[in-house]
Amino acid sequence: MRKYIVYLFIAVAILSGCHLKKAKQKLVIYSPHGKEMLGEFEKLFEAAHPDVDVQWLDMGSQEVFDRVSTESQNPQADIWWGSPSTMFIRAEKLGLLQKYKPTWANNVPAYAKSKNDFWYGTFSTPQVIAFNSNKLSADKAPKDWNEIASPAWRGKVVFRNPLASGTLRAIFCAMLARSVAQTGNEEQGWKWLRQLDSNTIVYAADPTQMYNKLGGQNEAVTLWNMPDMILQKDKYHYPFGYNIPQSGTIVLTDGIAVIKGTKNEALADSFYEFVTTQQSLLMQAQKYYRIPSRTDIPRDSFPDWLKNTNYTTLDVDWDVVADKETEWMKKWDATIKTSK
Amino acid sequence: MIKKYSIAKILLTVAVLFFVVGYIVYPLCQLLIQSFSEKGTYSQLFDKTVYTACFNSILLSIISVIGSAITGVGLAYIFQYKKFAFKPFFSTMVLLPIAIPPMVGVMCFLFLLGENGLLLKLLPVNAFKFDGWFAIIALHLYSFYPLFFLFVGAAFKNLDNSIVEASYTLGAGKFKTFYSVILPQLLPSLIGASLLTFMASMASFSAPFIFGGETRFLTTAIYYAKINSDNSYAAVLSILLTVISILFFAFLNWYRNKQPLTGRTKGAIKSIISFDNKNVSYLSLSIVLIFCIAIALPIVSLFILSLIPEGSLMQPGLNYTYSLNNFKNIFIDNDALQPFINSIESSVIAIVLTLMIGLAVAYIIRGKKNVFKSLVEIIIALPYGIPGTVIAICLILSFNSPNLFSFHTILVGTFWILPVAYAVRNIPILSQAVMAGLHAIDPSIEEASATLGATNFKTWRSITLPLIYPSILQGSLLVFINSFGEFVATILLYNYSTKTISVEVYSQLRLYNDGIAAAYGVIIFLIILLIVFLSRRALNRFATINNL
Repeated sequence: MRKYIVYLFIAVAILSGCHLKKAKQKLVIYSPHGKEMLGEFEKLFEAAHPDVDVQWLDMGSQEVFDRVSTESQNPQADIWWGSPSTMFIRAEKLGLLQKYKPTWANNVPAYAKSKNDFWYGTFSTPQVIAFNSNKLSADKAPKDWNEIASPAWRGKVVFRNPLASGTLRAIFCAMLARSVAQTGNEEQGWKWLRQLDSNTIVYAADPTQMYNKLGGQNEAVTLWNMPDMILQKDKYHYPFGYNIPQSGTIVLTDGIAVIKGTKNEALADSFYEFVTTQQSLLMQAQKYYRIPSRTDIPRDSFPDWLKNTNYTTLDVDWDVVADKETEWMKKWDATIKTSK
Repeated sequence: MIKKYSIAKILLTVAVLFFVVGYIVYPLCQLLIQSFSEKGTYSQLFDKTVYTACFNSILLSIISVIGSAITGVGLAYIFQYKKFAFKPFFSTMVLLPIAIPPMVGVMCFLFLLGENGLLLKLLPVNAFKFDGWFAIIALHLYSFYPLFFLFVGAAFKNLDNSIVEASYTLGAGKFKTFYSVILPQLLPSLIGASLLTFMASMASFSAPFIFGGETRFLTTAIYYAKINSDNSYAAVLSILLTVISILFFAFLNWYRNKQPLTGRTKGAIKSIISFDNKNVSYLSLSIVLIFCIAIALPIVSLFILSLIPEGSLMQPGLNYTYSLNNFKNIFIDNDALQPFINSIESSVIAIVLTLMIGLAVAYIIRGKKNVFKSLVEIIIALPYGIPGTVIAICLILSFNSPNLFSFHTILVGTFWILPVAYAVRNIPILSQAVMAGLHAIDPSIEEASATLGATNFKTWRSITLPLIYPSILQGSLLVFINSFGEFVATILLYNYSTKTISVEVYSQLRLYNDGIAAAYGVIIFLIILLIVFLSRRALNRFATINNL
């Protein structure tokens, strides 16, 4: 037995020796954008800056937020690339971000940037009413927000669990914020959510299961983001179609920010600029189905899937959403979801 | 002479205290601080939703313990006393679920029984839905019964069969013998396994999250509170979860200490006898066979999914084209091996850390109980009842800045935070295994050693340690398996150069690349299987050498 323990210790000593090597200047990115896109921009940026080692950590927006806020005493990362704007609004309030005004700052709509330059929008994500195209046509599927909540669709609505989904949280809260803006109170928004809940047959735990249920053997509809629906259809041939709500749609903004306390500020800024040039944004649109937030990109350079997309943006006060999200979602969970 | 070893004991106590205070108590204080960060959070404990979540979690844990106990003990009994073909093969088969980390386990069950699962395509049943309580309990039984099988199986081996024979001679029936003679001797291991299963069920996240649907559980409530950036509420719920685990732990511990120590026969144990030695049991064979098929099906579907192209499950029918493309895709990257090395390395270091602390704790706690010892025992068991995410956040908050316990370095962002987190999380497993081993030792053997003039340390090293070696090995094995597939804490603690396999699996799942994720799952499964196989060989060799 003593022999094994000695082996164990030798193995540990050798293995831990491997961690002592020193690298080039490090730039650490936290991002939910996925391995493929991150890997590609790592290579492109390193080719342009040979003395830099770009290190990205791929994880969900929530995990990025957790890390950035728990590490605030001793920041480990330089750039936070990608998360819904409401998360950046909260991070700005908590003092987790570092100001940076990009060269293209004036070419972004006002709702897609921080007033104080703490974060800027990179992608716009319109939300749509998606349906099973094997069982329904665009004509038959719901065409507006009120329609999907009407009794005609009882038992046909599937959802990803809204608490765990940034997309659905944003839609739900945006509807409440609109209710407040239009009628002065939340009541109309809650009514809509209650009707929606009574139409819902299932809250799936993750997107894959939601896709399975949407593309299954029944007439099914859901609310989801447009680029993802197109991607699933084009790439994996899922039977999905979508209607853009006629009265206008909720558009989420995906942002980028420098993390406060970064030790490589100049380098972080240049990465910030690098991934948001017109050329980079077009490439992200082409390959990864992201819609640029920048308004100065000529439309005829867009990839085909994007050229023919037209939508009107619903006016939503995202500061109110960021402020109330916690309270509203808790209330939704406690009073509406249990109503069944 | 006596004085010298007292110094050793004092040093050990100091080391244990250092770990307990620095790596368990201090991080938990961070949790407490967070729970008070907003006013009035504690009053939310009286909400109906909290009560429901609490009730469901406890009910789920109790069902998991009882179900796993019946399955695990039943199997161990069949393997001990019945005679049937291919026994060694089957005894490895029934341990397979141990080689499947929770995240991969959920994946397996989804591929087999989910909406577009393989089994549902094979069978013409449309009404069947694998969801809710049934699914969660099935998954829990699947992952937890091997604990009972392992712990109780080991106890069966140490069982004094002359007592069993005596019981028969005195006219007791099979059931009576099992209930009144065998069961009491199995009690320490049963309690150890129940403790671990209860705490693991309380802290289980993947299964309730994926299959729970509208049902509330404490772990999912914590997760949603966190996602809702309601940190103080999440902290309060975590404390509640911890308190429930402590109470259960304290109750079982009290119950265990109340039991008389089972006197073991001096001299060699009588070799195993079997009741139906003469006739080969076909009934047992068929039970075990059916059971093993049920065990293997989810794993088989994982293998199938790793071999077919992405998105195939969505197509109707079962005509797949098989290839190794998903595996090739894993190894396309230049540093594709690094996550494997990282996972193995941090798990191995975690074993070393838990071994050092676990054995030191066992050495100190051995002997007469006092308040200090009981306190250490309880604190050391705490981390198992706390969800991984919460442990990770506590550790980040504690080791964000240099402090005494991290030897004035910053642990966050370094490689070391991973093994430390795994060690903290798994120390209860090792100490439970060691305690269960110690409980089965007759103190008179150690007393004899002392009477013959051996020092405490010498007795510990040459008598006690060899006797609990099988328990130590099994404990270390569980520590390895848990660390190797650990995900929820890792995702908050890893950095670029310390990416582990579970992080890679998650990256693929996030991009809906089920095929590549399944391929990773297969590799994880095979690596753990190899380690299990090697350690079982070591155990058998040890048994032969020592004539056990």
